[in-house]
Amino acid sequence: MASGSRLINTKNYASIAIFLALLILNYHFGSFHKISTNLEDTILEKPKRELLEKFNNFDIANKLLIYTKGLDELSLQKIKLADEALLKNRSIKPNHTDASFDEYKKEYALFNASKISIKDELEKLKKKILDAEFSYFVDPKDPFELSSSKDETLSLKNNHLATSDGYISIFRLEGLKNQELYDYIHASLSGTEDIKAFSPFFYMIENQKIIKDDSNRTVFLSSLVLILLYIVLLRDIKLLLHTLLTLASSILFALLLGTFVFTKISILAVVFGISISSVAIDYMFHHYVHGRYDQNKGFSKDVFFGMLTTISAFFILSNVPLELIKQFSYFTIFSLAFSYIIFAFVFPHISFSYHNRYSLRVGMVQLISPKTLTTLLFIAIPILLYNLKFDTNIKNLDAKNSNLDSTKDFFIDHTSKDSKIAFLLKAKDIEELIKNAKELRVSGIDTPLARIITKDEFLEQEKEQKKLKEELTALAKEQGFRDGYFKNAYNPPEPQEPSRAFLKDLGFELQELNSEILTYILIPKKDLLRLPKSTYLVDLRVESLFKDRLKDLKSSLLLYGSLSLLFIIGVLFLAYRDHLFTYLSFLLFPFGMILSINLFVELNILHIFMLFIILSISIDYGIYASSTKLDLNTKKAILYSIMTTFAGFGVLISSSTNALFSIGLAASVGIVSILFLLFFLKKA
Amino acid sequence: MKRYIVVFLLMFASLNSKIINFEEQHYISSLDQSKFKKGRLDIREDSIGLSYDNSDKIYTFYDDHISMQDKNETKKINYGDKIELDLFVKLIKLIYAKDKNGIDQYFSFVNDADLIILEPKEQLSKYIEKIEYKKLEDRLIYLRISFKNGEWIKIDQY
Repeated sequence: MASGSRLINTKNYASIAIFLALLILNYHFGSFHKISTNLEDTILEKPKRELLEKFNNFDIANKLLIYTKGLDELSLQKIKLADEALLKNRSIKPNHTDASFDEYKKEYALFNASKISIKDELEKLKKKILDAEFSYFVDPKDPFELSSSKDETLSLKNNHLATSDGYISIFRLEGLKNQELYDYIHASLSGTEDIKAFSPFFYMIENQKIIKDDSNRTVFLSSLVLILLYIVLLRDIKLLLHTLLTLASSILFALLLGTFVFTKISILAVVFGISISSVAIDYMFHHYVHGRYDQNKGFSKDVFFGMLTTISAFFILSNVPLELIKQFSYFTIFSLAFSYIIFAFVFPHISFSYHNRYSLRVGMVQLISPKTLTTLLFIAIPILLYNLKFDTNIKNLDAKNSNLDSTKDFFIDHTSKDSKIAFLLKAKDIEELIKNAKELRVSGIDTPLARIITKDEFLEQEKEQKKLKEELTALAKEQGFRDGYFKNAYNPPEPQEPSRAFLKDLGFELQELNSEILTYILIPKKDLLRLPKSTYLVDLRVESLFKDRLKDLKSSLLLYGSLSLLFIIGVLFLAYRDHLFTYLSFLLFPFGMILSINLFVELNILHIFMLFIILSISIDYGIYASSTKLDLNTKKAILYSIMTTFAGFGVLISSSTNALFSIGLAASVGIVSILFLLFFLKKA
Repeated sequence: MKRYIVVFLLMFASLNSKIINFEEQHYISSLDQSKFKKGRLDIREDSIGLSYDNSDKIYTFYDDHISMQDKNETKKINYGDKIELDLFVKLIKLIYAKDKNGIDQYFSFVNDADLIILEPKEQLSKYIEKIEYKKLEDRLIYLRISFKNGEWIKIDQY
């Protein structure tokens, strides 16, 4: 007797023992540190991720901009105090401007100028000198200002950079761009009115927080709803504690295995895993309400096949060549398999007594015939598929950060006349890199690199340049300019063969990746249509980096989705030959309803992904609902299950991360559709 | 900018006058020639007016902005938009109130008997070699602004 109660006590601690063991293992293998909040980590292929990482090492991606409103004394004082406070941090350095390239451009300005009339230029210059109210300053090396950029919106006022309506400071960030630096910058500026700050790394910090907060809220809400369901429906605290521990263990188990498979696990996959664990509760419900935890009823074929179809669907979908979907799939497989094993094989040993504490009276209306519904869906679905609109911008899946977006736009508007997009320019050597830049200039896209004069170009144009200089000297005398006034203008030295060191001396940033040389260029948005088709240019916008894959991804998602459906149908034919139209209704109705989301918003890859997932879940309900042993307990299990599944996925609708919101929306529509079928579909 | 500095210095020299007339010579080294202009400064309680002969532009300097009027329109200019005008106001404060605040960020001062020399700092030193003026009691003897590009402006009160 004593040994028996010891045994019972030991079994009672089984769930917590498993949980603690998995927690220790996760800490031991550092799994929690492998959770990534960066969407790019899981949607971009490694080569493109590497390119993005390379760009992030360039100085241009590591700037900090500060703006104070107004050009008055107060505003000037504010920005000077901000400068002083920020520069106390070792990671924040004054922005250095390299004058070498400016000098180079002046020397070779005539080479880069399109056909100019020396006479006209001299007349314009003379007028400017005579009309000047104060004194007109002529650059002796480039008197016609041929090398100056026409895109400069920043000027110098009161010894400080200024825009048209405020002062601006630009800093260079060195070292780690982390929360600590983010906090330092914001603390330095806090309490100052009308001040704005922006750095690209703010996105990383703020989006991480948005996604983390979102995830925490999701976990909290779904746990709360589950606890409420347990308290209201089952009122079994022991079962509740064991179930929650099992679900938590399943997440830890999936995280542990996931970090062995992937170098980084997306936090979205973890949240998805937490939501999908609500499906795992179904396995417990079916075992529990059928008394399998207190009576030895043996193996449940229905629950096993329900689990098998779901896991198999995820397994097939894990072949979709997108790491985010792979992570969702693997995480789910690990989590569901673990939960099933615990609920099916460990819980019966812990032993829970089922008492029908809550009298469930649910009227099933059963109005619609499966045959009629299936026929209607066979007509509606092709129409919906024909009008399918797909959201091609993968960045739309990321967290919404409209505040930072508008600050970024503000600085773009205030620091440049044209909004520009960063591109990587790549080549096998320096010569090819310059050649590529010059090829772009032929298409009307001028970049600093295209202004480098090669030795061949110099020799080719040398004669013409000398002629222009002679013309300048002669005409200047005629216009009344002092003798020798232009002697220092446009005297280019014979160029050296451009080398990596030479370009670096001129201020160009270069990096190497897989024996290719990379630099960046900024292309005004308005010129994007002029871009030639090339292999040497990489558009660094995530949506563009992903765009090439989108077509492949869509087709593979549809292929593997269809395969998973075929598998499910195959299983149904093997295990459950009857009730074909009921199963088809459970497949097609949620399918059609999720597709109809497209009437309101464009579908993205996660809507499509969830479409197939919901089908694999839906068919479980089809199996349960068509069971020949459909009794009150089965009905209860079905209803409890669907409520918990809804609690798991439905809360994702509150997410401000589009990826999670999309999952939540598709899942909610699917689950409501299943519920509709359970109530209104006629039983065969 | 020269005009404002000139105006200010003339104003200083004729502290008790309401109207100050002056002549300026601007030597343009690139063309090896000089421009001559005559101008007028009108000192009022709350503002200072500046105008030139043969020009329809009139500048009025207020505490917080400048008004530029010509035959077509009147424009409001912020001091922050024009460093030369900002400098002008700061020079006025220096002369009238002997207040070096503001102006000392642009210049350092050297006194040599009656001659006062302003040596520009930082950015300004790229353009201005120096400003020097001599006064006898309240009267300006001369003012000369020398630029880095070889140009200079000389002001005489008459």
